[in-house]
Amino acid sequence: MSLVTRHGTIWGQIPQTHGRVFWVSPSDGYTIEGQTYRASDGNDGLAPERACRRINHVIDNLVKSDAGDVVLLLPGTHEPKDSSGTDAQPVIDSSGVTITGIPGGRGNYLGQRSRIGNDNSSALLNVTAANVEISHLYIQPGSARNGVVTAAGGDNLHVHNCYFDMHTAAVNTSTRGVNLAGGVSGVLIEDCYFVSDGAQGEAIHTQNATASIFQGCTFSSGYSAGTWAAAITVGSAAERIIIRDNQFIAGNSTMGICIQGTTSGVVGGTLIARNSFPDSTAVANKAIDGYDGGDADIVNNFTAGLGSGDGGVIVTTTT
Amino acid sequence: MGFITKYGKVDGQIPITGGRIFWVSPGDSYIAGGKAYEATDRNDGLSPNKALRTINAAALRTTEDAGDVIVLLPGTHTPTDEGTDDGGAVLRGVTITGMPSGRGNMLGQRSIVGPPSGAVFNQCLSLYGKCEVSNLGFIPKTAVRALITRAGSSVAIRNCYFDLETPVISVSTRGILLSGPNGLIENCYFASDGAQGAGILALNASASDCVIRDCVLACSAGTWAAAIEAYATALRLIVQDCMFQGSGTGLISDCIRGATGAGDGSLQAIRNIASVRTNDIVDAYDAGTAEIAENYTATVGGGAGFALETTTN
Repeated sequence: MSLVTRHGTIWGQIPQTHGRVFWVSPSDGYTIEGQTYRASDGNDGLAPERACRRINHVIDNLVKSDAGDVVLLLPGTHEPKDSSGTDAQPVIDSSGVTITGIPGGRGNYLGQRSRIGNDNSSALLNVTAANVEISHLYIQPGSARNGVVTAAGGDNLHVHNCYFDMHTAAVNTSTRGVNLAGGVSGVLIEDCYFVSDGAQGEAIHTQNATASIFQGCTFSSGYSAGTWAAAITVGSAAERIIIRDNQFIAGNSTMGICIQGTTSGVVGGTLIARNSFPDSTAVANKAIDGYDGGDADIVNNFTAGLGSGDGGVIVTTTT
Repeated sequence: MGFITKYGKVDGQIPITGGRIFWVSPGDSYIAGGKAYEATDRNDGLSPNKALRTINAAALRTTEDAGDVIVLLPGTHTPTDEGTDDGGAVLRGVTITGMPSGRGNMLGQRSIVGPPSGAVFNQCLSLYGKCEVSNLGFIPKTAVRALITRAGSSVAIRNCYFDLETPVISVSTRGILLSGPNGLIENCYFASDGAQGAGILALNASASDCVIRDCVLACSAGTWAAAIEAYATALRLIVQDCMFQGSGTGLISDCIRGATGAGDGSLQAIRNIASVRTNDIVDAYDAGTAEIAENYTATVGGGAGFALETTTN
């Protein structure tokens, strides 16, 4: 009986992927098991001691569709750049690719070890193919840029355990965490933390996505004073959207609207359940707004109450 | 000290199976480890570079209750008709899973099991014994269920997507037909577009003591008569923490539909949520036969923000 199976899986464990793992270093030099190595896009990236240097190179040239390939970003700040060294968004046009940091344990969605960010890429991760998973990353878009953006074909995107830094970039209403464009469906965003410091764009901008769920996330506008217009926006063609079990916190700042719909939407297009919203008397918040009557279904959502107050109030309005 | 124990497990890590891994490709060729291979049912299937071509071939090679695992590579798999047991692939006491390559997304899995080939009445998979089904998408054949659990089985189904939108509408198109006890269905998504059959049907007395939890059942168009249905003889069904969503022109008539003549304690429904475009969270039970707690229907803006379900018929 073999110690490790001939093809490399571990006896007693069910394989999670049949693909390759591509290691990517955030810098020219990096450390693995106490040893230092040089990262290069001339490496094949297939072993920790042969890491590639740029995520763009791996995405553009190495991963294959539906091959179970995983892109593993080592701790540090990764700056997406093209082969000439210019800031450029990686376009994930291979389906079934996983991009992840190394949690080094269970991971902390309040601050991941592997960061991806630069100032000038229109997006840090542009997803145009189906079944992509993004996890355990600190995502820091530039001003007026997107952290993650989708285009047609980017169905079934799964983003989890990520921190979206929307407080480092200069304030701009076009700075977004996740921008769901292209009519994608089957998007699952869970266990993520979005932090804004004022009049940034949305944490999640749901244009015309369908059959998607946002759950277990925290949306905070409290990094510094300022007004965050909307944490989540839902477009008029979006339907079968579920927003559940999220927390919205304003701290000493203002979150204008936590979940904002649009007029002329789909009847019952959004189901909003069991979310908690910041107290609406201390700061000028609205939990849910902008929907036509009937476009949003609400159940068991509460705005928090202040001490000696009411202990929380059920949300009853969507307009 | 060795890093790998002599019998192959990683030191310090608890094994979760003692069986073999059978790899199955959805096409004649596939990629594993970045290299292209040819799949054939003449392979042994025991390594990713020797994948089998069909689920059926893998099923025939497994041993019941030996910890064997069937891994379906990404793409759409088409079970063949074995000519027995109503057709479809027959699994006995094994695990069958897709490749999540991470946590996996219940809204859209990478590995899909499509309608079986063949003209006979057939489901995608027929499940006996202690099977586990995970990280897969299913598209049932029109007027047939995707999965059936058989009498005496004890099946866990999790992180799966059931596409009831692609088949032509028929009240006999179903996601899961439970005819075995102790079934556990969790973290699954069922999508319907009208008058299909139930996402989950507990068929008979053999389908007692099942648990359905943390699932989403959604209808995008037309009227879905029942998202979950239990016939009178199916006892002690628990449905908890599920969500039922009718959207657009879609309406779910009954989220959980029972039947008259069921015995006391036939259903316990706990902490479920239904959207406005549903008629009843629980319906069609005789008085006193279904227990409900903390089930809520949503309201539109201007309403109360919740409506506690208090009726079961």
